[in-house]
Amino acid sequence: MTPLRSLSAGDRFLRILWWGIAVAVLSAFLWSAWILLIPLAVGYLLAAVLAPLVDLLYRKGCSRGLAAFIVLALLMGGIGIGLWWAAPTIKEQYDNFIHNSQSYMVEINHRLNGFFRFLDNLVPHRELVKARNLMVHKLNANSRPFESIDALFNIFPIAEYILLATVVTYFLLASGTEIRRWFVSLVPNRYFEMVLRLIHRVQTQTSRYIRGQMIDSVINALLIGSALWILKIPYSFFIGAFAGLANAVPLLGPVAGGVPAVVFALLGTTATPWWMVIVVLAGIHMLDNLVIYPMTVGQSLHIPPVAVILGIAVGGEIGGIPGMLVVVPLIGIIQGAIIEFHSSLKGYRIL
Amino acid sequence: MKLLTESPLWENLFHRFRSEEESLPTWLQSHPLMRGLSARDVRHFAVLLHRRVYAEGEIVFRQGDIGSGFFLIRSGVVRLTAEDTARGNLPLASLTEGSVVGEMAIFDNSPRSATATAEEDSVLYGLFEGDLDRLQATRPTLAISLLRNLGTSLAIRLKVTNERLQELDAANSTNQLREI
Repeated sequence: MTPLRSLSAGDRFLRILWWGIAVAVLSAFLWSAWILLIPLAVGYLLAAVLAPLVDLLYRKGCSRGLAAFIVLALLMGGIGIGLWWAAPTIKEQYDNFIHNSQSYMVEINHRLNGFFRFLDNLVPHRELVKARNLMVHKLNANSRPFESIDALFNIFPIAEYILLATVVTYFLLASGTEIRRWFVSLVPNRYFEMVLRLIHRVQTQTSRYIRGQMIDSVINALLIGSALWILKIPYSFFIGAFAGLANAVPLLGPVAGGVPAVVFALLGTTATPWWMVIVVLAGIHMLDNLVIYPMTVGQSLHIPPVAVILGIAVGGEIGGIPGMLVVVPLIGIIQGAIIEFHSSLKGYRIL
Repeated sequence: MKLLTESPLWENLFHRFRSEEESLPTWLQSHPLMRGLSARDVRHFAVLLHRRVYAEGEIVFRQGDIGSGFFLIRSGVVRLTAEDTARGNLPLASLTEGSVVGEMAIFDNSPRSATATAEEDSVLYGLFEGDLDRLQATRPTLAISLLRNLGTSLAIRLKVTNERLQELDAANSTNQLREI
């Protein structure tokens, strides 16, 4: 489109801002250790998922504040009842897991020795010894390696984070429209419509993506958990939940989610052969790729693999496993925002 | 806070702003866009509107910019002009209180077909695609009524434009006959 006018100072500022944001986004992933980002991000993600329920109650005549309170209370209540109901099983499986972790490690060591013996014929002996010593050293560094699960939860003051995330969710659900209107009212007339359009597009796109991703993860968790339970793999409840969560991480997630099940099958904890676990997990993954994912997430956002890998690395550095899980939807949000910002600046002939 | 309310400047400022906001639903109630809507619906609609104040000569939107909503003129005058490479800036209309500006954009998100400029200090209320989506999600019947009324408003404008075109065509034909 031919420009109808020369760029004003404000337009030039926005142009600089655009490039500034591009650089800042890249730097942020490499630099940030902003731990508070996680509860705020969780609050935002949760609000995006729950917004349709609040809208539904609001349509029935509830005030937004009450609707947000009811939805959050139902969610918390549901989680509470679920935990109360599942707590004995979870505790039993967890205790069992911790109790057996030593023997699992011995078994893994034993299998690795066998594996290295097999490799002796294929790889130069010196290199093999080096790799083996490194791996054994890593495995023996912690006498109870699965304590890292405890560590995962101890790193974060989890109750504080849940509270903060809940408060953020409540305010976004109850007063999201007012917050947005107040923010937009501060924008100068020249850029007001552009900013409003940008906020709306980003919000719509990312909310759809987050909701879809969350539904996809829950379906995957249920499918994998049930399949592993049928195959009599131990800790199917945990592995299913972990695989469902990991599924939100593209590329690496489905593989990482399936590894524990295959390891338990390899360790001989069940009569099911390891290859059958792989076949079943691959079948579920295929079903997800061909049917579930297109129906839930669709083509709303396609995140480039490089961004996923970089994001996972930085998310892991900042917040461990929770950081890795939260970072992918955040990349989706940032990507959506950048695409819309770019298209808006083009549309308003600023770029 | 007490100091603020005691200050005549702030009191006048806030009073003026508050009274205008408070009277908005009453003002809207008689507007053609709100035809067939209950007072409660009108209040819901009013909450979604964005109040914008434009100084004399300030541009509301530019021809060619992406449009995503429309404005209702609460007070003041807004001039519509279209840029034409051959004939320069063509004045299209001057719209006053109660008029709707830029409503085509809410239907097709197309670039603005004209430039709107405040001819004097004006107060406009805008509704945009995000607000309409919000309305559809929370008050679907209100959204349908609003869109129907907007459609009626556009149809009336189209009818007027057609009549003008017919008049122009008739005038051209008469001129051509005279020349013959």
